[in-house]
Formats: sequence, C-alpha cells, structure tokens
Amino acid sequence: MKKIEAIIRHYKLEDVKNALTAKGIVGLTVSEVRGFGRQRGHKEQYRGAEYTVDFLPKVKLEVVVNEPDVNNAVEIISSAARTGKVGDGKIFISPLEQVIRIRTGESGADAI
Amino acid sequence: MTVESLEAVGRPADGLSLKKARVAEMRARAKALFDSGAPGVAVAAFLSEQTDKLVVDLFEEVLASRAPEVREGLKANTAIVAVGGTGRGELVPFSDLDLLVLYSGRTHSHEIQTVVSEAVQTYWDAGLKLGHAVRTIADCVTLARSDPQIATTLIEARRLWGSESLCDRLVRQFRRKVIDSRKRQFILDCLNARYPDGDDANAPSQELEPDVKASLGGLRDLHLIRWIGYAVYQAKDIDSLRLNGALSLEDARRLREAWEFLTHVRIDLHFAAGKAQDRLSLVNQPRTTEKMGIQPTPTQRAVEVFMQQYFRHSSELAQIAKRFAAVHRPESLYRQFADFLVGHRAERILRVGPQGIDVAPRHFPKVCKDLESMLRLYRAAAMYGVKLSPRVSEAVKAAVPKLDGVVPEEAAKLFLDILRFTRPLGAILRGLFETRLLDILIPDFTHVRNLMQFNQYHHFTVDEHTLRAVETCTRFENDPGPVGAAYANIKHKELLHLAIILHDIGKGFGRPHAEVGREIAQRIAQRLDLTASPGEVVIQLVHKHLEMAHIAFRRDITDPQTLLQFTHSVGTPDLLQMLFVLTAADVGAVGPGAWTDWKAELLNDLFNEAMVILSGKHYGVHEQERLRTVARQVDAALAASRPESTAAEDQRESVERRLAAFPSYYLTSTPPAKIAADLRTIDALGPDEINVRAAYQPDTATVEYRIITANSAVTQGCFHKLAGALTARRLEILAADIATTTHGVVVDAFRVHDRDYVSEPPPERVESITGSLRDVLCGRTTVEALFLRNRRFGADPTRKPFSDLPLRVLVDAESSENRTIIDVFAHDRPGLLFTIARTIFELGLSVDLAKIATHFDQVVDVFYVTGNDGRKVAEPERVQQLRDTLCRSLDEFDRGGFRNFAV
Repeated sequence: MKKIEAIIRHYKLEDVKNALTAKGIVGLTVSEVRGFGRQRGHKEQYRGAEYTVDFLPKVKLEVVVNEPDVNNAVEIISSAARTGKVGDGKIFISPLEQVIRIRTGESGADAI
Repeated sequence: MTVESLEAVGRPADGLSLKKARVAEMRARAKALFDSGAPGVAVAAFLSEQTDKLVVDLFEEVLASRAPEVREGLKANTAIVAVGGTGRGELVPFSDLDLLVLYSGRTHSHEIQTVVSEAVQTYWDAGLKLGHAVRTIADCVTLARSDPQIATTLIEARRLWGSESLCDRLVRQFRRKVIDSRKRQFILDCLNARYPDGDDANAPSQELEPDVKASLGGLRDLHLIRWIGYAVYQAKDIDSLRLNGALSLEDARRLREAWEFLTHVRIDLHFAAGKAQDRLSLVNQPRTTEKMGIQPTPTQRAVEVFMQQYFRHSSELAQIAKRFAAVHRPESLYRQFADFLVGHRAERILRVGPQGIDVAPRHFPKVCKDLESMLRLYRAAAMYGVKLSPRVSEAVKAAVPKLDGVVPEEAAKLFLDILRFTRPLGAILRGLFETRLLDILIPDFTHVRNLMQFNQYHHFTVDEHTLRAVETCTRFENDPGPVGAAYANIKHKELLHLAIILHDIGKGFGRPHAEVGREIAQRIAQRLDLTASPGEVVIQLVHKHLEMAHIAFRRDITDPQTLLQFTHSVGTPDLLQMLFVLTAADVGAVGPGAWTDWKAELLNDLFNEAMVILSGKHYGVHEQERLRTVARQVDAALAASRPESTAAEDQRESVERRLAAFPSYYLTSTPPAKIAADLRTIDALGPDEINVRAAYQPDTATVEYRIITANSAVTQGCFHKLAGALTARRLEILAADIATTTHGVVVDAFRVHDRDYVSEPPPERVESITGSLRDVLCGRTTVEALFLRNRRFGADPTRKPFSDLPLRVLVDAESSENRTIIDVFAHDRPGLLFTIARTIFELGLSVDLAKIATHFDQVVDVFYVTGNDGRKVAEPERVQQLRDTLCRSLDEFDRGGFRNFAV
C-alpha cells in the first residue's frame, strides 16, 4: 500500500477529484495549505507594499492506494492538475505500513 | 426477566442478578411506555418514581444485614436525599443519580461510611450509576456557599428515606444561610453556573449538534429558571411561578412545550444509545426524526423539519431564560447609583443609561404605539451605542403583534437610518429580531427563522448566520487590512447592511437561493421605499453574493476570460467594494474557522485584479508610499540629463510638486523612465504645440502614440477626435491611457496595432499618422473626412464576435470623490471607442482619465468624467440619462452603425 500526497493549484481540486472518482478511486483527504517551489512565488505586491510573497495558497490531496494502482492514480492526478505553467505542484509517494477502518476493524487492502 | 420468571426456571434467585434484572425491567417498561407514545415528561416521572423505590429497597436490604440498634440509629439520624436531577423528579433512562446521604453530627460517622459504601456498590452492581456524597447539614451549607454547582443541586433536595426532621432542617438552613442571607450573590452564582462566559455571550442557541441538556436553549435553561424562581419567589415549578407573576401565560406555555419536546428527544437519545447520551449528533437527527414520525414537506427534508422544530423550542427557551435572568439579575448598588447619575432624559421620555434605553412603564403605550415610535427607540439605542432595557424590549415584543404590517415612508426611513450605524448594529438587529419587529419590516425573514442548513459546512441556522454576518461586517471597521479599507470606503453602508440581511433569505424554497433572493430583494426594496439606483445595488448584491467567493476559491483568476466575466457581472468599482466586504462577512459567519488566511489571500487577489479592470487603478492601501517611491525614481531618471550646477534637493522637491499635478493613476501605471521623458517634453512644450511621439514595441508588435499638449483650445474633446483619427487610419486601438494634469496638460497614450504592416511600420507611415492626429486636433480636418478618405474597397464589417458577453454600460457616481466612473463592456469593433468617446463629448462631459483595454474581442473601457462645472455627475436623473444615451448610441452602433467605420 502506498500513500500519495499531491500539492496542486487550488482551483484544480474539482477537476482532480472528478477524475479520480470517475476511475473508482475514492477516499480522499483534502487540506488548504500554502507553499512554494523553486520559483519562490511570483507576486510583487501585497497589501500595497512591494515584496515577494513566498507562500501561495495551494491544496493538498492525500489518497491511499494498493501498490499496483499507484502509477494509474499518479497519471490521473497529473493530467487533471497540469496546466503547463509554473506552480502546477508536486506528487509525493510514500510506503504505508498499515490501514485500518475504524468502524469495522478491517485492515490492509480491505480497508482502502 | 422478572423475579417470578427466574424462580420458575428453577435457578436460585441470585441476589445480584435479581437486582440487575429489576433495573433492566424498569428500563424496559419505561421504553415500552415511551414507544407507545407517552409524553416524555410522563416517562421521566415514571422512571423517577421507580428509581426512588429501587434506591430505597436496595438500601434497606443493605441495612437488613446490620444489627437492629444500628438500624434504628441510622433511621433516626440519617437521611437519603435525592438532589439535582434526581431530586427534580425527572429521570432519563441512563442518566446518573444524584444522592446525598445526610447525617447529623451525633451519628458515628464510621458506621455511616461502611453502610454507604456497601449500598453504593450494590447500586453500581445493579446497573445504576450515581454520584453521592456523605455530609452533615453544616458541610452542605458551607460547600453550597462556596460552590455554585453544589448550591444548585441542593435546591432540588427531596427526601427519599430516613429522618424527615433532618431533611426539613437541611431545607430550612439552606434557605436561610445559602439563599436569603446572600440573595444577590446566590442569584449571581446561578447565573455564572449557567452562563460561564457572561449572559450576553455570542454562543448561539442553534449549534449544529446541540447538547439537549447543556447547550444554550437546552434543559439547563429550564433549571436556571427554577433556581432563580426558588430564590426570588420560593417557587420552583412553572405553574407556581406563573401564579406568582414571574412568568406570563404565554411564556409558561412555551416553557412547558419546550420541556416536553426536549425531554422527549433526550429520552430517545438515551434509549437509542443504551447509555447516557445528550448530544443530538448529525447521525442521531434522522433517526429521532423518524421515531417521532415527522414528515417531509415539498421544500424541506424531514430531518430539516425536525431540526427547525427543535430550534424553535430551544431558541424560545433560551430567550425566555435570558429575559428571566436579565429581569432578576441584581444590580449592584453602585451601578444603580451611577445609572441614575449618568442617565439623562432623551426626548423627555427615554432615559439613557449604561444599561440601555429605558422608559418608565407608564410611557410604554406611547413609545410602542406604532412602528415609527418603536423604531425611534432602536435608533436612539443605536445612537448611544446601547441596547434597550429588558422591560422595554418586553413592551415592544408585546406591542408588535398589534401592528398591521404596513410600512409607512417614515418607518422605512428610520430603518435605513438605523442601518447606517456600524458598531452597535449587530446588537440592535438582534433586538429587532427577538421582538419580531424585523419581521414587520421584512416579512420574508419569518421564513428563515430557525431554518437549518443540514450540512457540515454551515454551523448555524440561516437567521443566526445572517445576524452574525452583519456583526462580522461591522467589525471590519477596526480591521487594518484590505477588507477594512474597502469597508471604510463604502459611502452607503446601509445598502451593504441591508444586502447582508437579505443575502440568504432565499433559502429553503427548493430553488437556487440567489435567484429567489433577488426576487425577494426587489420586493423589499419597494417596501422600504428605496429608489431605483440604491435599490438596484441591494438587489445586485443579493443576486451575486456567491459569485466572488466562487471565482476566488474555485477558479483560476489569472485566466483573463474568468476575470473578464466576473468584472462584467459586477460592473462598477462601488459594487465590487461592497461585494468584497459582503463575501468576507458571509464566509466569516459560516462557522468557526471558515475564514482563514488562505481564503483571505485568494479573495484579496481577486479584489485587486478586478479593481484594476473596473477602475483602472491599483487599489493600493499604501498609496502615499508608492507615490513617493515613484517620485524618487523619476527624479533619478531626470538627474541623468540635468545640468551639474542645480542642487539635487531642490530638484527632487520640485519633481514631487510637479508630479502632484498628475492623477495618481498615471503615476502608478507609467514606468518612471517614461514619466521623466514626459516631464521633459512638457518643460519644452510651446504654448500651442501638440507634441506627438510614436514608439514601436517589438514584443507586442504595437505602436504607442503619445500626445502631449497644453493648448486649451485643443484639449477640449481631444480624446474622441484622437480615437476617431486613429480608427480612420486603420489602426486598431488596443489600449489607451488618458490623463489630464491639474494645470490642464493632456497626456494621451494610445497603443495601436497597424493592420497594414506586419512588423514595424516605416517612418513615413508614422509621420502620416502623426500628421493626421495634429490635423484633426487643430481642426484642419474632421474625423468624418478622414474616414471617407481612407475607406478601402471590399472591407468586411461583419466580423462575428467570439465571446457572448452582452453589452453593459455602468455608471458609478459613488466610488470617486470628484469624478463619475463609466464602465463599458462591449464587443470590440473598429469605431467603437470613437463612438463612445464622441457620445461622452456630446453629452457635455469631459474625460479626465481613461483606461481602455481589449481582452480577446471584448473591450473593457473605464472613463472618469466630469461635467461642465468640473465636478462629477451625481444626480440620479442625470446619471440615468447618461447611461441611457450611451446605451442607445452603442446599440445603434452594434446594430449597423459599425458599418460606417468599415475600414
């Protein structure tokens, strides 16, 4: 089992969510975050003063999938979230030790 | 299982399982009663009665194992007293018991302890959960005086077993020493126990998942009334209080209904969970709804109907309890004295003190005689920043049902007056809401009372959310950020406040609530005598209140189309400002944590981008600093070409002075190097000269024509002439920035695309164009002549537009101090700008500042105009005329007039 974390543009959330659920991948966690990558943000003006703002609003998506489905999920997220411009975001994949469904106690692949 | 059935089975009647069985049986019978439809309070009474018996029986069993002398001794000198909820005589299936074991000092306390421990163990084993204490009367009194919780449980003391005289002594001593000798403190203790954050706390009585006992509007409010009632009137139950005049007939009835409803829900929750559960969670709500047999309506789900009923009961209960508390809240002697000193008679009847607007009861009929008089009370309260005193509110509430529902002009004016206030508005509106005066002014508000929004996102019912949105909005007065700045800039805050009151009023009808809201807003605008233009603002705000949040949080605002559609919909800077504040207030009032920095930043970005398009100006909060920076940079650029001898200090000052003559928009949107070049040009300008400079910009393949002149004969109407001349010469005007200095110098910059040339046009071409511009300004030729001369054969005028945004012309007489802002959204076509500019000129207006931009095939033009007197056009009739004339002229152009400009 793997955990996929994707940081994407805030207005791409709907598209990514729809793309994932259309392919049967449900079970998403979403948080509002701020971040920047190599370009260190690009804004010039904030509250009337001129300085560079580093942290831009983004959305973080987390989803857990079985190993064979990882590439597929990554592909879905990437194509839905991509605009080709700076700031599209990143995807992180990490191994997951265990998953448990609280209500029933199921674990492992059954709990995904 | 009953005792009999156990014996029948042949098993030895084991003590413990018998007891357990008894408890289980009691609960089962209660459940049967409940399921068969008995009222909640009856079930609670049944449980109480049965539990009393059980407690006594089990205790006597324990005693049975003791020696007779011990038994007698205990019976004479101790008592088991039910306190708290147990003492009240109403028990829910799984709540804890509250028992007090009272003993007189003469008893051997060791004996007591052992008996009690054994008894308590028996109770627990049998399945009864309880809290108990073993105390003397003296202990109780001492503890009650220092701990409000203990005091309030003792109010309900009721003897279950043992010495009657001991119990009586407890009650009498409690009465004397805990209540009567320190009544003020006692009442304050009760209030503090119930309202730990003060009884004006902002906590709503409508939480998403209310606690039936402890939330505001829960059963605890009933208990509070009992406690205070006991302290003041020696009566605890509703009927006795009513007989004592402490509660009105109506209040008593409402209390009883609420009591029944809440108890019913609480019992249901307990039975469903099989344990103590007081929280009506989202999971439980549908289940309880079904159990109570509540049906859905055409516009509401069953669970929403149920929750609306729930909130109706709980908010009435909360209100009655609050009023009861407020009426009986003891005033400190000092406060009363201060009140008397500070209070002064306003309008000879109203007294204004720190507590609020008060009126002697004999004047009640006068101040409550009609809608206007009552609104005057609230306006006075707003003026002094206070509320109405509880008894005046009561009087208003009693008088409201007698009103006939008509809103005379005077009343409408008073209401709008009230809406102009900021800081006190939240509290005033709550007052109007609680007395239902608001429903007279806005009848549609009744529909959203207690209307629940059954989802996790909305924390409050619609009415509570609306009141909170107003409060959030008025708090922006102290906000140092962009929302605060926008709020401060809004001239007609009453329109914004009214829009907030109406923004969600369209909910609960099954249709999109922004649409319904618009219809309602139209009616209310009429009802409140709002004329066309202000009324339109309110209607627009209500109709579009979701748009800004939607675009900011869910769409890409760097996409020009998105931004364009949004600005097209909003139309004027004035409306944009109000929409910005409304959105911030709306999101902030959704629930705790809904408004985050994350959202604030996105919303602010959209606001800034849209503001640039709609007003041509950056909405700088620190405008001054930017100007100073620009002045420095321009000075630096000029210094390069300045003669050595002149002092640098003086030069910079003179630069600043000269720049002050320019509109700030020009300064912030023109690169400093260009400003410097312009200044040099102006320095060298002859009195009649028309200076024209052309510069090709390779990266956009456009040419910028810069026209600077101080010739007053020429500056009149030069904008439309220039626009016409450029169009006639087959130049596509992509952008234009027009500025006029206070000395009458005109700086017009046009960025054009030359259709005849793919790359940089040759010098002759530029010369020729420049010549035409000069000619037309000096009057040597006209725009019409230029068109005729330059017409080409076979030009195709019918180019179909790409986007389908309709034509919009909006006039904003609010946002700018001394100029009227005209926003035009139209399809780009040759001759469009000339048509607009000429119409403006023909209306006798002069263009001070303009920003023309083309997005795909949509043109967004902003013009800052003044009338003949140099001041802005503000009278509603003239504004209307301006709009209509422009619309007509553009309409004609769109329909066929553009063919005249086919080049």
